[in-house]
Amino acid sequence: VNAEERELLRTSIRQLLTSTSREHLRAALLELGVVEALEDDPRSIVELVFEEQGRAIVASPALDLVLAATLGQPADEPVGVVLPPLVAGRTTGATSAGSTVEMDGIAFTDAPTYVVAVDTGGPTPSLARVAATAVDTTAVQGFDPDLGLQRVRGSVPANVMVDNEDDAWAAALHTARRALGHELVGVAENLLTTARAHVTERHQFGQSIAMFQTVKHRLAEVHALTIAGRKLLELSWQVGGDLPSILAKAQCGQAAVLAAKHAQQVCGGIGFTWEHGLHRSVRRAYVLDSILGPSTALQEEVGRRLVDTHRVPRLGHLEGAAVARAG
Amino acid sequence: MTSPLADVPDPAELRDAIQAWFKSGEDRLAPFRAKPPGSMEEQIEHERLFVRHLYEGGWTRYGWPESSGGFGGTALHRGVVYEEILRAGYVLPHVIELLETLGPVLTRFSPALADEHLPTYLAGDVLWGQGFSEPEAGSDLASLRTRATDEGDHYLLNGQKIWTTLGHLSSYAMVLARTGAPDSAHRGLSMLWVDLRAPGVLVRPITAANGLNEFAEMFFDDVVVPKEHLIGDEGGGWGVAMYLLQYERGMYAWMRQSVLHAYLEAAVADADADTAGPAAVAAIGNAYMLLNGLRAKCAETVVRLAADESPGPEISVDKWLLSTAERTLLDAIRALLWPALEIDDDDASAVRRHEWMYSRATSIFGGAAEVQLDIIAERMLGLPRARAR
Repeated sequence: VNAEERELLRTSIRQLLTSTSREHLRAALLELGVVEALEDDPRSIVELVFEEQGRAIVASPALDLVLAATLGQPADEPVGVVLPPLVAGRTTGATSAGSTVEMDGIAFTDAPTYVVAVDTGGPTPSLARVAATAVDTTAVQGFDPDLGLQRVRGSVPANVMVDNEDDAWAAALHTARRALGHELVGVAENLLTTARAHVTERHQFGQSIAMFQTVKHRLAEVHALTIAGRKLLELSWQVGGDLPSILAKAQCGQAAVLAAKHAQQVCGGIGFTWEHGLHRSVRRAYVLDSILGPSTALQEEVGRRLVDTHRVPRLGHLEGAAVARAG
Repeated sequence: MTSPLADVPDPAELRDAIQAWFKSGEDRLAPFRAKPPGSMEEQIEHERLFVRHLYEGGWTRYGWPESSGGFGGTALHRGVVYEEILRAGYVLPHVIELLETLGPVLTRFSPALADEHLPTYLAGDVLWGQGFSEPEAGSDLASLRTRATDEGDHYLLNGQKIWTTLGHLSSYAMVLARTGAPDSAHRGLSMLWVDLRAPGVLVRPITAANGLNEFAEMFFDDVVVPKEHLIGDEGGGWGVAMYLLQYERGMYAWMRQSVLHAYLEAAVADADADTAGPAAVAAIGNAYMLLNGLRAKCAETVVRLAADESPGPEISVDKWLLSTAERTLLDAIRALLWPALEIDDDDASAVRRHEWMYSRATSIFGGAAEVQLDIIAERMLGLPRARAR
């Protein structure tokens, strides 16, 4: 995809996400060719869809579509992919020790069928396909009710297990972290845009408050950390292993949460009103940081890995950056 | 001497070749795997032999023009070599870090001077210093007052410079001086190549907070500078300085992140995994995350510099990420190894104390962190300028 095609695609995605109602978004994304695009150029489509989704503070079944495709599920029926519950270090939405599978996870959609990774104590998890009628799904209100999260819980027989060929779940997790990372970049930019507009228009002491260094520097730090997040996402698309996608998710989450914190401060009283709408972006930042996160827990997990293994991998190399730039 | 590899190698080939060379020279090169704990002068003397070995191996000649003692290639080749030195477990010499601020600008704006002087630098024989800051012109560099007056075939240089890294060990310095009117700000500046052994030059080392003579102050009293030692155009010094800053901020960041990986590697090797507390472990993870964001960012910058593209104001992101990552990392290492930095007197702890203290300066030199954030806010985010210019 060249730069021009990319921008055209970005525009169509933005229009689609902002003008389609939630119940029609799955069909609209399919019609746009998201699943086919995953085959050809996963990085571009994931980056564009999720960054735009974050920027627009839209909730959609895009992550389910992408992850279901990664797990080899046919796209003709809606499948919800169950992510781990918000427990640090957990990477599956179910566990099994024998004849039953204990499910406890979260999903982005209310679907007739769920796919879940099951930790059976082995080196790689198994996968299970479970009918929604067999488990208990509850709509989560929580801190960001607009996100439409589902808590999926229940106990089902272990005969629902399906093959997790080549540890497809590991690939799905990498993709999920990247997708959430791109979405968090979009949320951070949404917050930065709101903050920038406010501080430029708002005058106090006879000048735009954007002229105060303390205001400027808060926004500049957010911008720099968002760029770092973007670069780590690029790296995670180039380099294998789970470390790059964990670092990227952690950095994007940190940047978005910092963006929320600084935007709320510089937008002052007006930003604290329901009507202003800043709170919707703030809520999105915190909840997306928490899913497969939060940043602080991921950082501790990575730190533990370095200290325990006594190894500090040097990720990627200069040629990688050259190839990424050319491509 | 000819290149150890045919033509200009691709980076992967260069990487393999240099690692093979390190492997075959393990015994001879062993002394260069750790910093000696002594004075800065002793460190520079110690690493001089390593610089010589690297030059004779040919590795530090890649990325520099053939006419200036190099083997051709770009900044990409240099970036690969620097990382491979560190990856192989060796200390990246100070003088190589310094070369990346002055070498590119010299080859770009004054090829004749580069042809004359770069070969001796690459061989480890000499050092150069950078004369930008003055006692009254730090962050506000364009207000500098060191003057170069036109005397026909030469300039007469008068003034004072400060914070010149290793200036007291340098034979030449690149000095930014005013050739225009006193109120000409950044428009009236010119870059000069100054022989520090010339009459009228006085250089005095300054001992840094880590106890090492990291930098120097330079005094110029009617120093004769030949017109051929003008780098770039008269009055074009600001543009030359900005070109230099791309390397001082971008390529330097690439080298430093690689150095910081080595510091972190050594720290986790020395740490006791069983007693490392969650706060210290989280701090290490935080530092590694920031370090990799920096790494990914400045890798792209080096690629752009190698393609002769100008990163523009975005280079301030590299510089700010570097100072943030470096300070965060040294704090995390201190926490992980606590209380070794506070009370242990072994060589490794002494070196780490120097490194920790040095990390406090990374948000000051090469443009203070506040200046970088101003640039990001004003030139990338489009926020209004507040300062009088």
